[in-house]
Amino acid sequence: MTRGQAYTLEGVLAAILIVTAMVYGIQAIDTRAWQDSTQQETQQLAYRASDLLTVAGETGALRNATLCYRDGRRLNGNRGDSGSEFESMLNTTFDSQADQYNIEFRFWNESDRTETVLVSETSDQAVNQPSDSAAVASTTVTLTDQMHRRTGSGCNSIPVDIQNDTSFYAPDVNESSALYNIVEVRLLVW
Amino acid sequence: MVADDRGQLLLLGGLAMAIVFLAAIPLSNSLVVTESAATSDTVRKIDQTADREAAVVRSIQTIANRTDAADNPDEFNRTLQNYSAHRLRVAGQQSGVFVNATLNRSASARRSESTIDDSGDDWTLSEHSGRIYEFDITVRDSPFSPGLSEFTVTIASESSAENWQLTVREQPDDDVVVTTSESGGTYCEGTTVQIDIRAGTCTEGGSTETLGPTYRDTVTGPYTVTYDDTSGWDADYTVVATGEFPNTASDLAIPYVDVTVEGPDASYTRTISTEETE
Repeated sequence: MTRGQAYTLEGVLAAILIVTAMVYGIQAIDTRAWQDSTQQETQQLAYRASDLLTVAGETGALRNATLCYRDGRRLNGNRGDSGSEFESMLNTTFDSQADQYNIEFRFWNESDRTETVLVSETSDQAVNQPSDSAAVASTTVTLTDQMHRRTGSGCNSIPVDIQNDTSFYAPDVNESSALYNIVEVRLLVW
Repeated sequence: MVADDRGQLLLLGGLAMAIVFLAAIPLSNSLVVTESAATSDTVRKIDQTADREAAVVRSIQTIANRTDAADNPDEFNRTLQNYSAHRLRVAGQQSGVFVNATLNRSASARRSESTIDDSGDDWTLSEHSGRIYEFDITVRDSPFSPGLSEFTVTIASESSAENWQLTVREQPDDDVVVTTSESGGTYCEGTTVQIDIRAGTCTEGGSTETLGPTYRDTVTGPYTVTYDDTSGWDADYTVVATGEFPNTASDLAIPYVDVTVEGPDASYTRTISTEETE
């Protein structure tokens, strides 16, 4: 066997060895993008927050919550069985897991600009300060003139249209059409 | 390099292979990680787009429901325009997503309610009907001589040669019976028969029978619906369907809305039904 052939054979064998080693190597290691535990928790919270808003939106619970809020009736997942459906969902998803959250409503106000109000409980300001790793999810709820106001612990409907309720937090953005206002609901969880 | 240097050559070769080996694994891994990260980002954007679209559809259905959109299409369309403008102000300016919703009258489902034309001619009830929401016929015994009278409703596919037929025939004893091209049997014999073509049932005297496979089981849309030989029959019909009604008056029944979404991740136009699901 000439030296050239030996080198060729050696090269082929080496190539096979490398390819085999690469396959083993790639299988042996974790190929996911590197994330620390905080990033993973934030991502999980973001998914849970987004899913909560989606389900609440589909069932109408979120719309009822936007019709229920007023300054003396903030949204609180710890209200227990007497709370509204949305608050019950908050409790199951976040309160019972010791996660904290802020809920904000953003809408068009009478000064022709957007206004943001914090609608969740604010009893402890220190607790209600979102951390840097807070996850955010948002969705919109459309309110029409004839929707009924909701009150009480269970957010029960009362026969008062929001367009006739002067204490309702959001104004009628267009009195000549059925649209009352659009509320963007932002959920910050940490 | 001479023959005596063979050991050195092998050593260099080994080192070179080791370097290639060590370099190739992280390189390959980084390619997989990049692909994985890109996939995760794409999934997140798809999720956000789907959530946003679901919220828009919910809003439009709410507006349609609250404005009686079918009875007040102009008011509905005006409210949609207001919705588009205010959604942009409240949520669109932050997210950079513009949503525009307008009523699409030609795509909307329409309702036609009438007495079946008894002129004796074959006539077309609807064409290009992608979806039939409701199709009911009430037939009373024909004033014609018993056994001589029958008429047929044909639902034909516009994309293939398939069709489904329902025939109403008068019996010698003056009763009417219903048969379909799929089952071949007779159903609901009596003097007044109510037929729900969409559900595939007929009712006579409080008793409901199933007509066998429906047109939805056997024919693919869009559909053309025709009546054949209806002369002398005393029958009413109600149909709610998309498409055109070339021979009868029809009213807006289920509005369809064109939704245009323009954003950093996706730009598209979809036509959605305002049929309430909640």
